[in-house]
Amino acid sequence: MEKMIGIISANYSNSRMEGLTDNRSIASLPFGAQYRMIDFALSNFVNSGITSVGAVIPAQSRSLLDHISFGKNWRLDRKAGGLFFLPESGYRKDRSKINYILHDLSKNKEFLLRSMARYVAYSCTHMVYNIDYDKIADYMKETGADLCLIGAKNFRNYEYCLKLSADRNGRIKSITKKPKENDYAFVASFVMRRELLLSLVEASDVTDNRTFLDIVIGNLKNWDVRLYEHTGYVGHIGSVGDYYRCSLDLLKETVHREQFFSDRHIMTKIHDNAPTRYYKSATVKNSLINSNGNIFGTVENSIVFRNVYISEGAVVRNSIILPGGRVGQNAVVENAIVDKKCIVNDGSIIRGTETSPYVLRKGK
Amino acid sequence: MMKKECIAMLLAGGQGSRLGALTKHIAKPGVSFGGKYRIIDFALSNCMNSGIDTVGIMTQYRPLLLNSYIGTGAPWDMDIPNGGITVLPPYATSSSFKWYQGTADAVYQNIDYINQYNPEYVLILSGDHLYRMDYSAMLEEHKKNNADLTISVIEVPWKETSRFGIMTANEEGRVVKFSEKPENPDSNLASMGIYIFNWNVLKKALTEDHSAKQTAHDFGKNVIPKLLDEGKNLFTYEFNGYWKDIGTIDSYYDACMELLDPSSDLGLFNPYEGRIMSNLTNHAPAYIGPSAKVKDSIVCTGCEVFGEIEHSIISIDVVIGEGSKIKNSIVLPGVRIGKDACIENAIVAENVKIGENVKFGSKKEISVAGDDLEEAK
Repeated sequence: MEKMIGIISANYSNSRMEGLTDNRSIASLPFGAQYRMIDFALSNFVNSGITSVGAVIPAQSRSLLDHISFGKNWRLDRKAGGLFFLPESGYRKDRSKINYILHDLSKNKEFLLRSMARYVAYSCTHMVYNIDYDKIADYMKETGADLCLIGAKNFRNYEYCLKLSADRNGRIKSITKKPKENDYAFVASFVMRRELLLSLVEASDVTDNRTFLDIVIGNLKNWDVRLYEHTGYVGHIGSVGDYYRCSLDLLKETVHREQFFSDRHIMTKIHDNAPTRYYKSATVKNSLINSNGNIFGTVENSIVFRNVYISEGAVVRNSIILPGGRVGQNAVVENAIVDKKCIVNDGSIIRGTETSPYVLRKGK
Repeated sequence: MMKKECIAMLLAGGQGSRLGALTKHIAKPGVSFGGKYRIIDFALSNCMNSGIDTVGIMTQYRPLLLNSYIGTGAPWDMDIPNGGITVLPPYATSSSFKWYQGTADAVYQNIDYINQYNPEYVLILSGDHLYRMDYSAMLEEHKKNNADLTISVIEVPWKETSRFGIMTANEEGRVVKFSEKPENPDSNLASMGIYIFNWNVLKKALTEDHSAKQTAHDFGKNVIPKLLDEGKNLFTYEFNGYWKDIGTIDSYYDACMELLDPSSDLGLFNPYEGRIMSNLTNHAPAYIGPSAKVKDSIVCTGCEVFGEIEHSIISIDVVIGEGSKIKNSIVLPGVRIGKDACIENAIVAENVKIGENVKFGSKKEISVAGDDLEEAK
C-alpha cells in the first residue's frame, strides 16, 4: 500500500516575470539549461518513493502537457498509481494570483479519495530544491503530527515568504509575515495526513475565500502542526530577477551537484539530440551547456539550453539562452535572458544589469 | 501474433575482437560511438525511420550490457504489444543446444520466431555498421524487380575490393557474379551485409544449408552463392551514402574523429531526416568549469569538465579534473580523469579511471586505455 501521494500546484503564475510567463505558467518555465520548474517537484516526489502524483494544471497548459505527457520520464507512467492531471477550479483567478488549493482539490476529490495512503505531500512549482519527503513522512509518523510545514533559512527573497515560528519541540506556534535573518520561512511545501486534508476539502464551501494557510492558522491550537527544516539549497522564484539569480546560482558546484549530479537527481523530459559541438574559436567558462549546441563564440557564467547557436565573435556573459536561441556574429549578450527561439542579430548589443536583467521576449 | 509484411533480423552476436579493450565487456554493436550513441543505434533507428516495427536481435557474445541497453526498444518506438524488439540469444530445445555457428545458422535457429509473423519479406541486418538508410526504398525496388533476394551494395575504392564480397551486376541490377574477396575483381560494388529475402526463399535456403556437409553457415560464403547458382532472382540495391563497418581500433578512431569535421557525411547533426535515436537516461547539462578550455571538440551532457579539451570527443557522464589536458582523443562514457593528467592520441575505454598526473598516449599511434591507470610511483 502506498505510504504517501503527491500533489503539485502547477497552475500558479505571477505578474513579475516580464513576459517569461505570458504564455506559460511558472511550472513550465524552462530552468537550468535542461529542465522546467515542475521537474523539481515531480522528481523530488518520485525520488522520495511517491508513485501517485496529482498535478493541478491551468486552463492554458499546452507546453506543460507536452513536457509531462504520461509522466514516463519521471517513472510515473505506471499501472499502479501514476500521474494524474487535475484541472484547476479557476477560483478567483482573474482577480488574484493567490493559490486556492482547497478549491482546486474539491473539484478533483477523486484523487484524494482513491488512495489509502496515510500522507499527502504538496509542492509548489516556483521553488528550486531537492527535498526528501520520505524523511518527513517518517518524522510525522514518529511524532504523530497532522501537518508538517517545510521551512528554510536565509534563502533569496525569503522576506516575501511566510514566517514559521516553532517551539523547542518543533510545534508551530504562529505563522506571520516578514521573516528576518535566521527565521524560518515557508517554502510553499508541506506533508499532511491525507484524511485531514480530505476533511478540509469536503468541508470547503464554494464561497469560502480563505486560503489553505488561513485555515491552518485558525487550527494551530487543535492540530499538531510541526516545522520541518530543509537545509539544502532553496531557489525562490518570485520575479524575473529571482529567476535570473537562481539560474546563475546553479553555476556553483555545490548547488548543481545537489540538484543534478546526486543519486536523487532531478529528472526531465528527455530530448534525444546530437551532442554539442565546440568549434576552434569557442571559449567557454563556468557555464552549463545542454545538447545540440553549436558554439563558435565566447560563453561565460551562463546557462545555455539545447539547440542554441552562438556565432563567431559573439560574447554571452552572465546570461541565460533558452532553447533554440541564436546569437549572431559579434553580438554581445550580457546580464540577459533570451527567450525560446529568439534571435540576437549580428552585431547587436543587449545588456542588462545584475539586479535587472534584460529580457528578450518571444516573438522578437 | 499479427502478420507483418516485413520484419528485420539483426545480427548482434559478434565480438569484434580486433577492437580489443573496447569489446572486452560488451559486444561490438554495444560499443559507444560519437559520445552518446552506441553502434546498434544506427540499425535500430534506421528500422524505426523505415517503418519497420519488428526486429529480432540475435545476440551471443557478452550480451548483458547490450540487452539492458536495448531494453523494451522504447527509444526506437518499438515498445509495442505486437512485434517490437525481441532479443534472441541461442537457446536449448528439448533435443539440443547449439551456439550460433554462423550468420545463416543464427537466423536458421530462429525460424520459429520469424514464422510467428508470417512475413512476406525478411530484412537481414548487421548491428555493427554506421550508416543511415531507408530500408523501405530498398524493399520497393525488391518488389519492383520481383526479386527473391536483394543485396544492398556500395561502391568501394578499387584497391580495397579484396576486403569485401563483390557483386557483379548487369544494367538492370541483376547479379550475375559473386566474388568473395577477389584478387582481380570485375566490379567494385561491395556487399554491405544488408539483405532482403522473400521469406519462403530464405526459409528453404537456411534449411538446406543447415543439413549441408561443407558449410560455414554464412550468408556471404554459402547461402548467397548457392542461390545464385540455383538461378534465383538476385538483385543489387545501390546505396550512395556514408557507410562504415569499423573493424579495427584505427578505423574506429578515424570514424569518431570525422565527426569533428563540420562537413562530416554521417549526418548525425541533421535535425529531422533519419535521426539516430539512443537509449538515454537523464543526464545533467554539461558543466564547463572556470578554468576549462574546450575547443574543436564534442562534449556530451552529464559531464563536468574542469581541464582543457582539444580536438576530442568527451562522451556522456565523464569528469575531467582541473589541469588535465585531453588532445586528439576519445573519452568513452563513465570515465573519471583526475587532475593534471595528460591524454593524447588515445581512446579511454568505458568507466576507466585515470589518476592524477598520469601521462598516456604517444604521437606515433593510437593507444587504448582499457584499464584504470595510476601515476607510476
